[in-house]
Amino acid sequence: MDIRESYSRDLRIFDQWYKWSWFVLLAAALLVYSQIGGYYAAYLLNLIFINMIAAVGLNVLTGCAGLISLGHAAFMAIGAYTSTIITVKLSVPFWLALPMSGAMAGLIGFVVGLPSLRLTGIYLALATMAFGFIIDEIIIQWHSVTGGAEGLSSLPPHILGFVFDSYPKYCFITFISLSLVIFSAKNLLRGPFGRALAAIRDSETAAETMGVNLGWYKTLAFTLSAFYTGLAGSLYAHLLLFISTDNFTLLHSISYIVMIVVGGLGSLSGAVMGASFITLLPEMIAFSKDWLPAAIGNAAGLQAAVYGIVLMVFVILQPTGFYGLWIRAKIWWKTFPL
Amino acid sequence: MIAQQIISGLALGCVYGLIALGFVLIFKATQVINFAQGEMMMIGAFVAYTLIAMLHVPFLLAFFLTPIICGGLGILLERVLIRPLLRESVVSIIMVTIGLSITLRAFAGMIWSYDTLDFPHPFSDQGVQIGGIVMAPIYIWVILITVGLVFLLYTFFKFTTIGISLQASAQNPLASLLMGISVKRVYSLTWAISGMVGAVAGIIVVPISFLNCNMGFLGLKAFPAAVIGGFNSIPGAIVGGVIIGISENLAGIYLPLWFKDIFAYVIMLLVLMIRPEGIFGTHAQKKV
Repeated sequence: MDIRESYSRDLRIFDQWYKWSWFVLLAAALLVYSQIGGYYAAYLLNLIFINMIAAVGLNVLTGCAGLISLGHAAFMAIGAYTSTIITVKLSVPFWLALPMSGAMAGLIGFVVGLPSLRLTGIYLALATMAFGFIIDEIIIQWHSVTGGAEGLSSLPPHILGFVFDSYPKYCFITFISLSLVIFSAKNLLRGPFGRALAAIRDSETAAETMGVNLGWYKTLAFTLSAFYTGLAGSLYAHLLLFISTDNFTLLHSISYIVMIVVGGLGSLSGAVMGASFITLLPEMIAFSKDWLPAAIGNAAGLQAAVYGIVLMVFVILQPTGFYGLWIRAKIWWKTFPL
Repeated sequence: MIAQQIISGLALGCVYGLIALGFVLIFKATQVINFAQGEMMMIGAFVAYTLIAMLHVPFLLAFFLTPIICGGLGILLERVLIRPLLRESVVSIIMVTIGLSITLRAFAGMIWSYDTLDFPHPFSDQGVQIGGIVMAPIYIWVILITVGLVFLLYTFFKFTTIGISLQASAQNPLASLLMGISVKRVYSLTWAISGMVGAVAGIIVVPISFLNCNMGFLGLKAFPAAVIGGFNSIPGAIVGGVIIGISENLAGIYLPLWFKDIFAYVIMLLVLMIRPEGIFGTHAQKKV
């Protein structure tokens, strides 16, 4: 049996050495596949990595702190536009633009987080939704800087003279960013910060009584979440090389929520699993079209319908998401002969 | 010009108010917010379209038949989707209703196509002149129907046993359960009523807006209405809707045109920051 014998082991990012080796193996497999799997596979992998970053960001806020955001696409948009504008117009190098766009989103996340002290539940959901619409409109109207409704072209990133101009090459950047994000998130969430957020989620009153500064931690959760999402936005912009507000609508905000719900609220592995599942869902639908009756397979709204049904089914029947299934399977195997 | 904008804003505001009324009814009874209320309105409009344009039912009959069908749909949805989550957190119920809105929109697109359809309605396009203001009769009808519906709901909640039991279980589910009110039936009934209100909103919004499976997005504008009026106040929903409708149209005149689309949300953010419980709402004190 796997019993944790010491406090220091409880605090480790991976509590056993072989989990590191699994991680390294997975990383190696993914990177090799991105190089030999062809252009489209590399594009999908990039997209999955970026969505994972965004999902981890949203999970910090919604899963860990219990604050709903229906405006995360706006943070993504802020990251994407900041990165594109400063690399194209001010020729800032990409390695600097990436954290700067995260910081910009984080700054705005801080400002948005301030009223969250007074708003919870549905009110916060509505406020962040309104924030998303307002950011969208600002981007469309601020034509001189953002290119307005026509969108904005971005450049493939250069780092130390090397140009990451194809999807397989770009995979290195997205993968390294993803690893950094996951490790930093895991590191932050295992400590006092993560525990304070969980305490706030479970009972604000109890958390406050125990000395958790509600305002500080809630704003911090918003800032961190927006920072990660801004990074994802920046990476997204340099992947697509063209961005417009159509990439960052309310439906995108909802799709990030679907990712973390399907994966499992409040766990990083859940965010990772949910992001891969939801990103690959259109591919799976396209793949299974051949086996479906033509009337269903060719219906125009099939993807949206599947999306909505998946969301409802998971919330009602499997509220702990894929992560819950994974834990259940693990426990089942551990006690197998019994 | 301004008077006309106010009238058309008033009519559109009534529609926002009716959608917001759907939110408020459900929120009052179950502390749940139904993100699919805009889609309920869309389904109502499409059902009416099917009855009138395809089955050739007279308009007046369809006007009464559609709410009944949509009320049934409301009961079904509550039974299948919301009942299993009765004790769950707000997040999960918001997720389910968002999923429902996506699904309803997709199915409506599959069934009735993604094109904007032509809705046959008996209201003439000829403007009527009242006190020097020319306005389309549909605007007057929308306002009259809204007033009538609110009056009907008011009487229902005030003077019928079912209405009073609805109010009771909204205020204190446990106490009303002890008094012999079936709270579960009350929840079903609430969804039925909000489905009916949504259907009426759908029928009257189509002549002043459009009939398309994306018209549910109009429901997003009803959130500011519900927030301004207060999420637990029935008159507040209509007042909030009217405030949004009129101020939006006035913003279209006095402010840059693009501001019109987000004006409702700006007002909502301001209200949320200053007085989150809205104009008519009451602030719930939570005991620990």
